Amino acid sequence: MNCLDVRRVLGAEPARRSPEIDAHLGECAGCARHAAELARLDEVILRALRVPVPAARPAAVPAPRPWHRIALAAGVAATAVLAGLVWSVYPREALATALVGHMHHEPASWARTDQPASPAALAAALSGSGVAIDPSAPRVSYAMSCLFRLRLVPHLVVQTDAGPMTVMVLTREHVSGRSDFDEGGYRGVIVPATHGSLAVLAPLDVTPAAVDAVLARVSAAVRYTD
Amino acid sequence: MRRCRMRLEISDPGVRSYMMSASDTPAATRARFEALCGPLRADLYRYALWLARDRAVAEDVVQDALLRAWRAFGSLDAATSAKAWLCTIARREFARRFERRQLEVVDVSDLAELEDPALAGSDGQEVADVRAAMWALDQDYREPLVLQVLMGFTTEEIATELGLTTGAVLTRLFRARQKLRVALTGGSEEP
Repeated sequence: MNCLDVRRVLGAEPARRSPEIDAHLGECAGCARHAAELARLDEVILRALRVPVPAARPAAVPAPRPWHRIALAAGVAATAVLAGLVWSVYPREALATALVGHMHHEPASWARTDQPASPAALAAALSGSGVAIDPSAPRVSYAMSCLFRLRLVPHLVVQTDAGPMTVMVLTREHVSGRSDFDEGGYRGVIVPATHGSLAVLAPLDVTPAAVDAVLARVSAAVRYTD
Repeated sequence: MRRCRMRLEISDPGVRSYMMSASDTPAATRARFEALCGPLRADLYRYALWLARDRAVAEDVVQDALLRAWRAFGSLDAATSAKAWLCTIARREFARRFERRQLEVVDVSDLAELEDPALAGSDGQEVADVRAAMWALDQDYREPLVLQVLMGFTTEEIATELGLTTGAVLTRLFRARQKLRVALTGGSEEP
């Protein structure tokens, strides 16, 4: 192989080695240097490609317009600082935010209704979750198995005197203690459970006491079967 | 009403048939899916981001791809092919979005890290320069390079993924690095 052959091969596949390539690199200092430069370039490319990956899934936003750039840059910087502070002080906010974000995907589930979820729907929602619901639970009007943080979790809506409330049974989300939150138009609470945690969310016009009452009933009705 | 992209039902035919054919419990199927796909999510997001050049679109693509992956879990032959399988799904999902609506044209200069905290970082000027040069590469050159360097695909796997000959992939990989080197160091491309 001559210099051109070797450089063409390594330019496409810098890690490629063969007896012919090795022999050429052993006797051609220029190509050996070129191979080292390509290997170094690939290291930097890999670092460049490994952009930070967001943990939670924010809502889609439109691409910013040019005249927004400066304001957006300032906003991004301020948000990053604020988010860091909030994260460090209130680590469970991220889970609450993710829950609220999930609520926004299913507005229809919040309908007031006398119609209970079918036994089949409830069974499907709970299938494989390691969770069962006792009849003592508030009436479930909506039951779905939802992908939340890459895990399938039972998403239930229960009908109460105070209106519909959402229950998320998060057997893989562990929390250290009770966390109340109020964001995105929802009031909610996350509490540790036998397995993972349990979250109840309601619209802001529902009182915290009503949320607590439902939490107590649901906590008593949820059984962990795994 | 916004559709629920993250919702799926155990009773979906694809999921159900897989469970039945594999004689698995739903919990076991779920655990296997999570164990297989969870670790790949980060690189899948990065791949989608380098395809879409838009963080929100990339997240949508990944979410929808994972949902489709779950529904088609039964079609996955071997765990070792999960990465290529997910990439194919994500790529199709991206193409599907592109067909549905023309994505906004993004000015490469607008992709400066100022606008996207996910792309900002403390990697240093060298990485920032390479990243900027990568954004500026044509998709035909950028995608094979991403699949090779980030995803660890062989030339043959890239050819299969992109529907190209291995010769065409090698040419694009060579040109991609050449263009990056020119962008970073100046000078002209070699023949």
